[in-house]
Formats: sequence, structure tokens, C-alpha cells
Amino acid sequence: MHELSIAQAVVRTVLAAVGDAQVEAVELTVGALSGVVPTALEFAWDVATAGTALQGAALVVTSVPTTVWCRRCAAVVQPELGFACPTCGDLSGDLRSGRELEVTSARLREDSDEAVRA
Amino acid sequence: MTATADGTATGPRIVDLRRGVLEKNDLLAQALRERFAAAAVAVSNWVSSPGTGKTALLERLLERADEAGVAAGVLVGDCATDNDARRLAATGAPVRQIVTEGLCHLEADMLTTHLDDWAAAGVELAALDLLVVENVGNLVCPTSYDLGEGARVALLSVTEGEDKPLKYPQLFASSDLVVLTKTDLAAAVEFDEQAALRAIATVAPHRPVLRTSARTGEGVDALLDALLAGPSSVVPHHPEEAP
Repeated sequence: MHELSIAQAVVRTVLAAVGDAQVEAVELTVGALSGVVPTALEFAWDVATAGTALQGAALVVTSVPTTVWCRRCAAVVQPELGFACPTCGDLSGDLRSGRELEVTSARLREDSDEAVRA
Repeated sequence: MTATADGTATGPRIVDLRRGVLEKNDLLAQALRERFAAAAVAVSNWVSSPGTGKTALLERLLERADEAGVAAGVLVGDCATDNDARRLAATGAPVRQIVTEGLCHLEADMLTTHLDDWAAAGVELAALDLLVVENVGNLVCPTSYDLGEGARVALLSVTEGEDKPLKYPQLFASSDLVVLTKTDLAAAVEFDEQAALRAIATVAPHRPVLRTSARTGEGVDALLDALLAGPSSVVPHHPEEAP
């Protein structure tokens, strides 16, 4: 349960980038192998944003599945268990996605500039 | 800086960030990696569940390192107490406890701070050949945090169940070396080694696996060699082909 640390890191990253602008939503990309559980992150989000300029902003999580390159099938496949190809069963350590843990973007409120000037 | 400075004032008011959430940790970890390289010290990050026997195995490893003339040190993370550091310090090796005060994993900035404090206390990284970072006992959270280590070691005891790698694929997939511990108990708990090796291979194909026992000393020399030479020097154990 390190999602609170992760949520706090997201808050720091966004605030450093947008300054005082009013943020409506923060978009996050989370890979299946990142070690971060989206539901736990959503739970931690309210706590991490409380008292910051991001309070009330929504957290939008895009999950990325684990995919590997299967040499036998010559294709990127989505393994069902571990890193085994669902078609031929071959094991592959050639990871193509799943480790992502990224703040993709921040969506600003329409009245953001007014808020900054005020 | 305001959002408009990014040229997003027209069209959808979306600020493109594409920043790693753990960017700060990753930068600190990269600095640590360079620091370790400059000091020519082999650093490994040991991750397992509590009770796998990391500390007992480390005690044996430190004894063996001392006999072999290898200067080894340990940074040991725990949520509370310095029990592990006191146990390990009995071997005579430099040992420093990192108390995380409840945090479930180590982060790069903790290592930086403790290495600085260690240096101030007269323990120089450059004097070490080997540094082991014993992470907080936890199979999930430490996997997200790069500590600048040369090798991440995932440990699994024979008493834990052969399918643990399938249940916690993140750790095993991100490891460089898998260490089986407490092999002296394997028969008593009817440990199915082939099933465990298959489970490891499923989530971490071609990962080298070492069998160790702190009680009998099995594999301790091989572990020391692997940590000093890098995990690729270990010949992988593969599960026997199904008939």
C-alpha cells in the first residue's frame, strides 16, 4: 500500500508543471506491472490533494495491460498468466508494455486564467 | 509558470505532461547508480516478504565475505526497530539501519541520506566491494522504486508456497536474480522445486535461480560470486521439460 506516496508524487509533478492554474482533472497511465493498484490510488487521491491547488480535481486512470513479444508467433501478445503467450504458450521475457507509471496530462478549468489573475 | 506558457491557451485546455510519476526517485536513483559505479561497489537490492530469511542469509553471506577478503556492508530497511542491524553488525561488517517509520518500502532519497551520514561517520563506499540493501519485507511496494542498484534480488523461501511468483509477478518480473531460501527445510514442507521453478519462469523467463540455506551454507558462496560478478554469471536453473 504505497499508493499514498505515489499520489503525493503525482500532486508534486502536476503542481510543478501548472503552477497556480486550476486543474479539473489529472490523467494518469498505469501499467499492470507498475506495482500500483488504480483503485487504491483513487482512494489515496483525495487525501493527497486535500489542501493543495488540486483539491477537487478528478483522477482519470488509463490502465495499460502487460504485453510481450512472442518470438514464435512473431507478434505482440497479451499474456494471460505470467509471460506465457496465449496462443502458443511460449514464455517471453521481452516486455513491450506494462511498466508504465506516468502523469499523462492535466486538464485545466475554463475559468483557470481568471483564477490565476484574481 | 502558468498553463498558457505551454501554448495550450487555444483549443482543449490540456497540459501535456508525460512525466514519470517517480521521476524524482528515478533521478536520485540514477545519481546513486553513478555514485556506486565511481566507488566500484557492487550493489544489490534484496526484496522479499517478511520472514523469508533475508537477514539470516545475510549473516552467512557477511561471514563468508569476510573469510574471502571481500569488504561488504549492509543498509537494512525496516518499519521499526534496529534489531536486524544489531544482528548483522555482530558479524563485524559495517551495517546501518534505515527505519522507515511505517513506510512500506525504501526510496532512493533515503539511501542518499544514509550513505551521506555513513560517509560522515567514516564509512566510505569506495572502501566496500559489496553493498547489500535489505529492503522492507514486502513483495509489492519496493518493486516500484529504483534504488540505483546493480541487481535486484527477489527471495522466496521454500516454506512460502511454490506459486508465490504467480501471485506477485511484479517483483519477480523486475528481478535480476531469484534466490530460494531455507532449502534445508524443503523436504519437511514437501516443497515442489520444479513447480516453483516453473512459476518463476512463467513470470520471469530465463531468470537465474540460486538455491540457498543459511543453516547448511548451501549456495552462499555462489550467491557471493553472483553479487560480485553480476547476476548474469549465474547459470539459470530451468524447470525440467514436461514428459
